[in-house]
Amino acid sequence: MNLVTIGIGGIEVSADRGAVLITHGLGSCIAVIAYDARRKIGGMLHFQLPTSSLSPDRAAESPGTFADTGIPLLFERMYALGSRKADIVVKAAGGGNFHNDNGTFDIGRRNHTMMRKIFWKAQVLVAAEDVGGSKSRTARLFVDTGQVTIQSGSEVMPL
Amino acid sequence: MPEPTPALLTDILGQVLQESAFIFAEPDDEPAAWQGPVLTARIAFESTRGGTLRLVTTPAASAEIAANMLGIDPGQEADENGRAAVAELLNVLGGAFLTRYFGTAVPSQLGLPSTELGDPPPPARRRCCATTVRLESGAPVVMELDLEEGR
Amino acid sequence: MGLDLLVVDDSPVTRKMVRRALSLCGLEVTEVIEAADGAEALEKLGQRHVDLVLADINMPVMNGIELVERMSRDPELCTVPVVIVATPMSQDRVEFVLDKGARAYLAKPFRPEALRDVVVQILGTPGGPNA
Repeated sequence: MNLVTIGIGGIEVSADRGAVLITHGLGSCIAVIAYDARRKIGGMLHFQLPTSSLSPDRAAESPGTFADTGIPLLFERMYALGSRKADIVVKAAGGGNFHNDNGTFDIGRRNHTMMRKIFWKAQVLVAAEDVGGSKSRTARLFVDTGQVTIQSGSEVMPL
Repeated sequence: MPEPTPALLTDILGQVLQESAFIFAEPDDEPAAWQGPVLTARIAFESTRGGTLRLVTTPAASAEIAANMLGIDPGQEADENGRAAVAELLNVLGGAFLTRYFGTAVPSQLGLPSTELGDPPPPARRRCCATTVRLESGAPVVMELDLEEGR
Repeated sequence: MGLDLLVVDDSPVTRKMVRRALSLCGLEVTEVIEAADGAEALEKLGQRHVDLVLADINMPVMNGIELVERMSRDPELCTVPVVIVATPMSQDRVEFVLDKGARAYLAKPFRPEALRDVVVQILGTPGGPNA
């Protein structure tokens, strides 16, 4: 088993059937998990913020930090391995809501809303998601099967 | 039943803008300073109390809302659908208000939304409460509730 | 052979949104027909077969409840499933609409995957990835 860990702002794609893509500590961040079952190609993005417009320098340095730069790049990297949009199934996890002194500033929900907006515009269905709440999540994608699991504490559930 | 509050309207408007149009709007205490024609949408409702909900915004904001709801880029199609988008937004707001304020156990009915483009409307006669939010573009959206006296 | 679907809503924006959401569902769709109210829907249903109707409730001329009632009384149309896609409403209204013959109720704003789940559940059609 080849464990590929994705950190905050990270994007990884793999056609290695022995690979497991994993990302930890999904609080308000969101993991976007993309899988092409026909070609057994998997990808994962761990984004932290919804839009790059206020931080173009940071977006240039780390496009995976933002939904609006990270999601298109995830798909481009899937395509580079031979995948096609029509064959990619998308799932998502994270977007938790945690206490913030500024009550109107809810990054988890903003991340989720931006992600939905991007996929709606791109005409991509979000097939399943485990978002919201106030738990921290770990997401795994098994490239040989396309199975996605979300772990919170000791509880592991399929997505 | 307590009277509706501006905070309730702000919460409902914010939630519906997020879920219907993927827009995060910020509450604004400053009254909207309209410049030019505005789009006003109205919808009547009946429940244990009747009333009207009203949305007022700019044509540019309505196009922004339409573009987001339809998943398209700003442009001619969004401009042409702005009015219909605001009408539908108010329709969804109406349903959300009825279920949030009156609950789902009480029979409620919504009318059909109407829209008009023109001068900013005068304040509603029995205006119960109102809220102003600003879209990401800075455009204001005002939601007003005109509620009949309790029976 | 793909599915023929009828979307009934007085809002042209909603009709476009439903059409777009249907295109994401992974269904094989031949045609999506539109109607702006229940009366126009009945007219179109009289002209051709559809596999599923997605209808709002609050519409001018003829609302969605009357459309469902008329379809359930028609020997041919009573077999066409109707999914109500409408604003959140009181529980008694949801139950009323389902009692009248609607097969399911989906609250606006709906998520495309929720629409997919309802349509697949009713038509028994396997879904797939993006269109």
